[in-house]
Amino acid sequence: MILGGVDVGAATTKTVILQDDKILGFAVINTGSDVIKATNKATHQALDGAGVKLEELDYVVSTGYGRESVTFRNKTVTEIICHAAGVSWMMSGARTVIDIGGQDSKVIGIDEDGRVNNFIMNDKCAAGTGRFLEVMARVLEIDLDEMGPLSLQAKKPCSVSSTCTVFAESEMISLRAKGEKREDLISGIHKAMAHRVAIMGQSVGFKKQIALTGGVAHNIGIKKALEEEIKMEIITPDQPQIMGALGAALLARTEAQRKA
Amino acid sequence: MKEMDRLAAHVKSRIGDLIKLKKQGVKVVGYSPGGYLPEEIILAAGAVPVCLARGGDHTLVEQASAYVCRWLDTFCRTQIAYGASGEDPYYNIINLLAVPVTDNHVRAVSDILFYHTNIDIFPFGVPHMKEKATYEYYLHGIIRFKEKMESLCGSSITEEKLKQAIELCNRERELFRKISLLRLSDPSPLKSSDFVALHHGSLLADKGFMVDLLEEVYQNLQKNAPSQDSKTRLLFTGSTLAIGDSRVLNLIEGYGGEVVVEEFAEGLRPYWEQVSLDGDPMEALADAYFNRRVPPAWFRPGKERLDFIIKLARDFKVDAVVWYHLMYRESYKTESYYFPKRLKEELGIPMILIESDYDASEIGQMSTRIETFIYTLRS
Amino acid sequence: MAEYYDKLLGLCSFSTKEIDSLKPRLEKAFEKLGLNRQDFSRAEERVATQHDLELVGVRKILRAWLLDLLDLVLSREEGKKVVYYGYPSIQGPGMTIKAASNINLYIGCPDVVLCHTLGQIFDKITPLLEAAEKSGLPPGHGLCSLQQVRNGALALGIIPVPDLVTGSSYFCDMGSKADELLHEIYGHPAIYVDGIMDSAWGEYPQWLPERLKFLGAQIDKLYATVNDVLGIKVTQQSSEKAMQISRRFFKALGRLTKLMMADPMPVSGVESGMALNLAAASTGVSMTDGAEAIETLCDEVQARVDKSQGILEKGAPRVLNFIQPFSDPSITHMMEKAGLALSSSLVTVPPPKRDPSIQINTLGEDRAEAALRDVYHSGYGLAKRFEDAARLVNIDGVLWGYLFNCRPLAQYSHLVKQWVEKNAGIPTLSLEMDIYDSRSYGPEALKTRVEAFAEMLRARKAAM
Repeated sequence: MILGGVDVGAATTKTVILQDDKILGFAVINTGSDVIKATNKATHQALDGAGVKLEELDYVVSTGYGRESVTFRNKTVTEIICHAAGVSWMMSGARTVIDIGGQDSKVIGIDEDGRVNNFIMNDKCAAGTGRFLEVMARVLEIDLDEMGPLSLQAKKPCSVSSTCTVFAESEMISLRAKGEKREDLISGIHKAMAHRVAIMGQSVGFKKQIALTGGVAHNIGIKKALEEEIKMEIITPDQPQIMGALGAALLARTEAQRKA
Repeated sequence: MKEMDRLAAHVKSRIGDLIKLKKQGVKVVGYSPGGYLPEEIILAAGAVPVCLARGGDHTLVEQASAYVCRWLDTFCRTQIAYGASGEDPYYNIINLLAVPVTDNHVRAVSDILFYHTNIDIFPFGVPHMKEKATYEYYLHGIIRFKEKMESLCGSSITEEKLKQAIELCNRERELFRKISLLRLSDPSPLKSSDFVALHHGSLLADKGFMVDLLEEVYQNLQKNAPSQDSKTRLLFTGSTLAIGDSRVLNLIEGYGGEVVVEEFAEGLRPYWEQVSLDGDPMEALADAYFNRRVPPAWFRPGKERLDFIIKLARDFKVDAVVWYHLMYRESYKTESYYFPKRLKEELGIPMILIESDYDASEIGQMSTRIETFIYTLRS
Repeated sequence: MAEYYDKLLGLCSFSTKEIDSLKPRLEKAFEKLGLNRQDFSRAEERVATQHDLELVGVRKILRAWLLDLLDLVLSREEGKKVVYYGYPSIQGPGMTIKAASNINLYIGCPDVVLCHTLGQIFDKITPLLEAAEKSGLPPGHGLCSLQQVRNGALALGIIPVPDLVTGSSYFCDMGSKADELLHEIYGHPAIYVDGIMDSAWGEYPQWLPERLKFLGAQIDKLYATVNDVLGIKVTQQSSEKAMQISRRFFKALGRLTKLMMADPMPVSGVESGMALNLAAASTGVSMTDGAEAIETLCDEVQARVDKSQGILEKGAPRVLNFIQPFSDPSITHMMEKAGLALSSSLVTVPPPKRDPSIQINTLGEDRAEAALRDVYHSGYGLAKRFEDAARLVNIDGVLWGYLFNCRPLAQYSHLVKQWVEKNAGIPTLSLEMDIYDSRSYGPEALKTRVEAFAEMLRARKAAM
């Protein structure tokens, strides 16, 4: 069976093509303003990479904030369930998932069967999400990808006191003007963000193994900051950004098997 | 003033003192601020009262979000974070936490800390109107508190001990009152930030030490003439002025304003009323603490407090009112809407409303507004 | 001659004869409410899509709401004395006062009536909220949106300034302070029924004897003031009369509550929610015509249950929630579309029975004792009631939809979930909501959490 999983996030859209237990192909693109177009583009890119046609897909599950925009879907499932499914498949020992997306962040508790047993989500405030980092990267005039490695060079991490992205932006600008080093500022930003996510996650609880997913997982600085906050090891699975789409494809497999 | 330095040093080493006292078998009793907990009962039991009124740091407020959603008074969320963290020396050292439950926000502190910690918590209710039934309910509450203290300390609280404690606390209140009244003069001989520091110190200090210190302060203030110029006189009122929350006052004084009188529900010790030494001491305490004290905004209606603010503003000849409350304290929010009209009509003076969630990012806006307000008062 | 409101009223089971006889009242009321032709067109579509109109009972309930709205809006014109009380607390005493009254009296909670009519039927509650935001209850401070509905309605002149308002302060601080604000603006007297939220954690269902005495005295004070201001004398007979009137209503409601627990769930929580709240609205037509409407609904729902018909599939996860949203049915529909059977609401679960050994000395104490057994007087009571109710057979999950701007509830945002999961072992979703104002908490905002919870419960059920 060939399955498709599409994760339509506010920032990026991801598609994974799965055959039995093997990922045949995947794609990650910017969602942009035309969501339907993005879902089609990501899927066709993934299909091309997999050497498969859309019609050959036995079942498609869509997830993410734009899940209802995937016209060729068979079912929608929330990204919470999908991230848990994706991570469990990659890391059988995973019991907690931290997902920091473009505009929301989640902490998810999973059973040994890979089932979600608890979750908490923040989508009312940008301060604990990828958007926060985007805004700060712009202020500091660096690429998002540079933030992680640069932060590791920090000798004197700054303390960022503003809890609001808008105010943190002005705070950053004035600290920069005072001559604070970029790596110290970035390290401070990472700390602030990790702190927020760690507090939110307390209601779910952090049990090992802890996986970090979502686009922000590529940022090594965030991972380290989270480890310092939670005082536990955090594992970033390979291709953390596609965990939602992978989970969706796995759930597509379950649904297709059930119907067969 | 050197007394301020002495007070600061005393407070700084207070935890050390309390540890020593506990080793000697003395009980330490923490209580939530609001002015409804008669310290006399704690003192009469031979225990040490400690008012837990620290705030101003947003880190604590953030930590509270692990225990409760954000829609709760900032100061109360701070207490929840302090208590539930398990790392705060004051919340860790107390044998008992007495919580006079004044409004829903204080109830949250009591319930949430009860659930998450092993702290022995004793809540009792403060009604919101002055009637025979409400006075009796409050009296019931402090009597139960007295019984709790007797059980905690393993000794009986006699009328004699209560009266001694009342005398001591009366003296403290009397000195605060006299010092405060010195500020009727223009210019005032004492900065509000110093007056507030005396209050904040008194919430943690040894009572005997505090009374002696206040005596000295009072004597010195009477002797020395003020060296400052006449300034814009302000009344500073609101919900909570926590120990460690000095931003607003610093800004006011920095921009040339002079607070000459304050009226806060939490963080400052009510000092206008004396407890009677006649008759039953528990009834005398209830009478002073509940009946005669000017209530905070959780009373319904809030008229008595607002009348009192008008009186203070008139007596102290203030040019304006600064109203400062913390986020989500709805009793204060509602009154702050209709009170300015009354101030304008009765006294012809303006009011500025400052709200805070203890967030550092507020400082920019706060500065601009306070600076502009004081500037316009001057001109 | 066809009028622009005929079609909507017809959907709400008004007969043409009745519409004719009510015409002058209807037109006067609609004018006061600012409801125009477009509003009615929109409402026709809204009612048709949001409600199960094949059920005559549903349509009759809508009728009861609209009749109460007429009584509320026209009360002053029609020579009535007007008393507003706070929800949820003063509902009980309100009924007793109505039963005692020998004058032409409208006594009710205008906010609840407006939420279910201007909100639920006409989707026109926002202007009231905005008016309140401009007159002392601004946004961004988590202020009670139910109170905003009332204050806004007064600011817009939609409802009359009452002769008396009685504030709910044994549950919250906001109710009383908002009534104080209204008094400052409009000048009508306010009676504050005080309460003290000092029940210690673990105390419920016991409480200190002086609490009963205190709360009883407060309610007796309310009755005495109503006598002074309006000449209404509340006696033991009034209390009995009130119980008689409400008996029929609560019997029907009890039957509906039980029927909701059938599998598959036979009718939407939107209908049971609006049925329940008729008791909160006022003590007049909402309860009398409301009782009859609910009885009709029960018979129809029973027929569905007999045929195993429902709006969800059999075996859908069964959820205990707190209460349905008032103004926006699309939220409940979203939850049901996600596959959750909202089979039980905590506010409909009967509280523990009265301990016969408790001494009741006055009418006030009689009311107070019932109030103390309910969910509102202690946080521990709330958590414990959830725990006990969740143990009911076949509840798969608890949906703790806490009103973010209701301090007595929101402060237990985390605690109820922690308590229920620990003590009843039942998965609980803590969902921040606003049941009166869905502008920031609409179905789109809540969807992901609700769907994830539903998926979680389904997976759990499948594995068991």
